Amino acid sequence: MEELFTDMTAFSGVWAGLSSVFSSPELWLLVLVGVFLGMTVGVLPGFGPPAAMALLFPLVYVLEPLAGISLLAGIFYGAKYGGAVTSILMGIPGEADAVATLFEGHPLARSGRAKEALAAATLASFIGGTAATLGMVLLAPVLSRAALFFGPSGRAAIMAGALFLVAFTSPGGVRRGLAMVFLGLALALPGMDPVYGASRLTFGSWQLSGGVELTSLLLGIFGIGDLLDALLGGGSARKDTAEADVTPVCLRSAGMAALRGSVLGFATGLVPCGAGVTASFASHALEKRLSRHPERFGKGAWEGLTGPEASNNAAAMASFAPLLLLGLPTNPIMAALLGALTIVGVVPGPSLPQESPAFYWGLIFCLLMGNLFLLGLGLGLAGFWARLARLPFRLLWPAILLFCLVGSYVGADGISSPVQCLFFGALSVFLKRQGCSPAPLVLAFVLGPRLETHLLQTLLSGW
Amino acid sequence: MLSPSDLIRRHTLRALFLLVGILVLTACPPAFSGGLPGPGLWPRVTAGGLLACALLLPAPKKAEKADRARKREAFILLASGLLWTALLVPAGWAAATLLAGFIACRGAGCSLKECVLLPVLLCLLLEVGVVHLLEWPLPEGLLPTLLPGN
Repeated sequence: MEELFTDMTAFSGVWAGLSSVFSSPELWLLVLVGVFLGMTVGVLPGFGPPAAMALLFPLVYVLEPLAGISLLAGIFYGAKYGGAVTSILMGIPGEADAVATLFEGHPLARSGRAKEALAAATLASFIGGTAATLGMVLLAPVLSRAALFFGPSGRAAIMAGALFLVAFTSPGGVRRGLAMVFLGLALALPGMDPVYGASRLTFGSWQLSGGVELTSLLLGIFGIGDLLDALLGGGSARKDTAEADVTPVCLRSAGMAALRGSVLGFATGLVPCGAGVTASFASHALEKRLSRHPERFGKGAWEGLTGPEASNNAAAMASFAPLLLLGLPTNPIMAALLGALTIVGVVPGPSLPQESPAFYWGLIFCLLMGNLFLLGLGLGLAGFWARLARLPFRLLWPAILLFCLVGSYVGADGISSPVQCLFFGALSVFLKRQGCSPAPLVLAFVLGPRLETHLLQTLLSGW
Repeated sequence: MLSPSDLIRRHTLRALFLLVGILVLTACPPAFSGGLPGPGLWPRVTAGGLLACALLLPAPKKAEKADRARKREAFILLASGLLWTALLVPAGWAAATLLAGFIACRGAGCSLKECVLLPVLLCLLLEVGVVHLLEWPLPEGLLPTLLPGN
């Protein structure tokens, strides 16, 4: 066990990663663009990080592996921050992770402290993201060596366990979660079987021979599905927010809460169980319990804002560790990133830091850089985000619809993809109306072929 | 006594799972080939799970009913999406975006000026960002043949 913590060979590629980042200034620009685009889409009412990621997912097709994945990672945590902006200013969380931010952030905004609340959320996100990335660096040798102990049977067990865990913690309940997992696995079936290469469930249609397109599924479920859900649920509903009035922020308690939230978020981010939501709610509960004035919670307590925001971002960053070192996505966004890794030709696994040091360490540095950009853009453009968040919904949805359709067309280069995209949009709304969360479906869709491969390898080796 | 609409609402999801499960079971290749686990084994496991879920799924909670205006907006969104898809290859991306964008904007309740300006702005964005900057191929349709010199 001691050997796990003392082996430093995993850090041997740090220099390669540093040089790949510093030798290409366009990479810096791409990370900046990714964070900005993620923030922009995340700030739009009714849209969370999955929608932002799905809308901009096709960009990965035209970029180098490191550039493409760094851009998507930037979009991811930019959109996470965007969710905090809408929670604080309008009381509309982009997704479940941002609900705990809303508890304290929105009352603060309504009491005229919108700018301070935004600044505190930005700083907390920065602390959480940076702490988790550094934690990931330290944990890399342990995780990658531990992952080497797993053969096909172990990997199949871990993937099946992850799917069950996600199903058991999904918002709709265990049975609905499991149903979504099986539906996701069924959607991944058409096309070539991953072990024998035989065609199956294509019903003689050449459009289905390549299987269901990941881009269309993501854009359909998180782009058009969210759009339809917002339309049917009145996503354009707005609340007025008070303008900021500058008063000193209780820095010490808020800072300590952010640090506690970072640790909590990092630990939960490594486990596939809806980490962001668990972490942010757990952090809010912890801060309330530790506070000398728990009665302030729900009315605008700074600790209650910075703790969940830091834990949310730390969980998001920590979820990169199981993705890169185990090939295990812990949430639908990481599942999309796993799909993107496959598209750009990177094989995640315990040997990734040794086999592709420039990519692995380059991505770590890009994550750190992205956090710095997030801090700069969040603090510097707070007024712009506030104005963008007030854009009328009637102007947004036609534009988003067309971007989704264009994205699905170019992502898969075929006319069947926009049709698939619209179908999945309608399916997503239907499932949500039936009380099911589509997140386990996406995770199962991405993990399905890998799980099948490992399972068949295990069965064949012991037959 | 449940009304027919409630009955449909309660059982649609179960019926969907049952249908998909049966479809996978009947259309997948054999589970074993040459005495070894074959390409049909995993689909059968999945189909078994789908059928079990169809039996075990709880009835959905009563969802809040969307009013007619919201349903109309959602319908126009899907219809304009389908229109864009249908027009893309024959008419080209620009014409498809202009027309579908106009209809989507009208359905969203934009003013006539917004309905014209927004699709034009989107076309410009696509032309600059997608066609020129990213160099992604989008179908030109009839547009190039109508231009002088072609």
